[in-house]
Amino acid sequence: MALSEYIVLRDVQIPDIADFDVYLKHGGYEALRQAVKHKTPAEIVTMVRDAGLRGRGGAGFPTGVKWGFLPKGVYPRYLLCNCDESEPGTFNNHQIIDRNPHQLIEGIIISAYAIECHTAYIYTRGEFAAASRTLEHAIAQAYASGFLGKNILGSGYDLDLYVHRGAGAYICGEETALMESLEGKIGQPRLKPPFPAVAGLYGKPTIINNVETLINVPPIVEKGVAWYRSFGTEKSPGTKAFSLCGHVNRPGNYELPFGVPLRELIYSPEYGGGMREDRPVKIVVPGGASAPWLTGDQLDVALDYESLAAAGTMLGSGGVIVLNDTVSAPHVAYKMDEFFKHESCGKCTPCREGTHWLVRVLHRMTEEHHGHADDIPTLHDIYRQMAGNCLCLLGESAVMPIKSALDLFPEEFETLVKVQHAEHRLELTSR
Amino acid sequence: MLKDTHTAEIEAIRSRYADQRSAVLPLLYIAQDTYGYLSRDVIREVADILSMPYTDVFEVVSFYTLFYERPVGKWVIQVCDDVPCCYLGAEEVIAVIKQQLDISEEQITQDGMFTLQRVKCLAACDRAPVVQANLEYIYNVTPERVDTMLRELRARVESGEALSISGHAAEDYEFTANGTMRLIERRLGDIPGSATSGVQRREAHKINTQVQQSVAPEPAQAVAEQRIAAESPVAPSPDRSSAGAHPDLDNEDGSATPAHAAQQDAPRAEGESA
Repeated sequence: MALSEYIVLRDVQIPDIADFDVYLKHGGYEALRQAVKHKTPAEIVTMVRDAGLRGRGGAGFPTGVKWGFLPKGVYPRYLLCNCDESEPGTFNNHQIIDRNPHQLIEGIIISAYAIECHTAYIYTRGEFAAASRTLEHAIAQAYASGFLGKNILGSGYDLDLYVHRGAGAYICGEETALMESLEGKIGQPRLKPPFPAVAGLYGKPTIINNVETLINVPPIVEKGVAWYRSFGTEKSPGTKAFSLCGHVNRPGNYELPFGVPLRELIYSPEYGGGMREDRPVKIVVPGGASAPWLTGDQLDVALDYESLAAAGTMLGSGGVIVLNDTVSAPHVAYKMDEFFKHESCGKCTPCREGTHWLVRVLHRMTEEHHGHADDIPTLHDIYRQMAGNCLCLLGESAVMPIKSALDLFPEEFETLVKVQHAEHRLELTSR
Repeated sequence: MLKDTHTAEIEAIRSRYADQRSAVLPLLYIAQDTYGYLSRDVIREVADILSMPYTDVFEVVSFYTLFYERPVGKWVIQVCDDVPCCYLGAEEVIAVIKQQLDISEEQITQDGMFTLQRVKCLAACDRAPVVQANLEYIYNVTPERVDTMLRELRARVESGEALSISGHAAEDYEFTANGTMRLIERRLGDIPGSATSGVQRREAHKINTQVQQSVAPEPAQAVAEQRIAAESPVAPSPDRSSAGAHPDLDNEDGSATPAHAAQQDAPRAEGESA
């Protein structure tokens, strides 16, 4: 059931939509015109809330509700677009800014108008060098056409929008670390509360939304709440750009209404096209590296926030990593926790030390082939000391790969330990 | 000094923020492109421009992976070894690169051409294995394609192209079915009322090449050159790109540039307070 109408990845249907003239020809910036000329900021907040738009960055929090947390009468306010996309298996923001930048910019302008802010930043990850140039070019076009700057479309509303490119740090996708980074500091998360809506960038009220969240705003404003709610499910309206990768035949970003079964995403010829060499699915990580794993016998789960939560995992960023039976579960856990160790900012002890020790033990087991008999209880011990004790979600996320691997594939760890232990002893006695 | 050579850009960047300290990342990128890497003197220079304590800027430089405190090759090759790239051939790609260049991770080739690094997810997992060279994406790099990739990168240096290790003129690349590398063209449209053309940015490389080779530009190229100059917020400075020469060798940290010097073993620049 392919979408007849795309909301987010419109470049699939209109390949040249990054071209300003093509975007304008397809009704581009009409939603902005409607918003600033015919709607009050409060009306737009209400529309986004009624549409049920939920944050696509991972948490799934209702966007309109988040906007409503801004304290009344406190200015200036800031809008930050989070484009620090770095979660393994997640790559839809990259495609959006590269291939449909104007719809994002239009979404940012309308959202900024809705929350009454006059300065907005798009924080792109440092590695998005070429794509950031695309965004800067598109922003220059928007300024030159009166969609940005002073007195936008004669409405009296002013907005400045800048691209701020990071310099290589996954943690800056955490919203308070993002603000620290934008303030010229190292990207270490802040203690919450206060929440950014109350005291954010430079201590001012700040809203941080993901790229995929904000790109939904122009269609909602232009086509209305009922139209938007005709996609997806009651609690997860709209569509989601799933990033599909791993051992599938057709990896890529696929926009689907919420609620499509995982099996369809992997096997439909329109999407994943099945598994490479027809090998079976062993592990699916359905929401970026931070999500608890699913196994090959759970492919009938529906891809929406509630169903995935009921299956013990989460939709997260929508990055779906599919791995076949050639991979070793302990090794996947090792690689994923190596990522979190590399990206830990070092601020809180459970994350800094926990990821370090997980990787040390897992490296010895999977790469050096020297498992110890007590490694399994040690791994359980380490992640239990991390879970619930970290300052931000990075450390909590690092628990997921190792916990999933131990829970779902305990025999692989036991085999690894037993065989290696026996081999090691043999080696010692034969010396 | 940057504040003399890049005055207008620095002011433009500063004006975007309520606190000038926010300009530290963009300024460090400019400094890195201008001087080749961030020596201790360069870090202090950036701190002085923004009236920041030296330790704060040293801290920032060491926190973010895209700032280089030691000299690097003309091309910094970064290979993703994360899930899923590692299960789709990234380890083999790294092995072939190491063999062809005769270096290990974090080392520079004898000729100063390449630095090799392992990096984490680059957000292009559908085109794994993914490599970046000076932050330009090169998609679907298989072990068989490594040779083409390295030859292509060398050829661009030999043609005199101005490179930016910070990615200021970055374009992305892919492989064709017959195994050649090609630039991914972008059609963005013009900026209304501006001489800047965004129809295609491909000209950027060609034009830089022309400039560096001191070949008199033909009229059409001269026009395009103006467009590029207008579009590119940070033009690579000439001294950085003068063919072949590494301008930083006589710098305080530069004496430690010997090819094959493992960066990890070299003493790190230590922060000093103002």
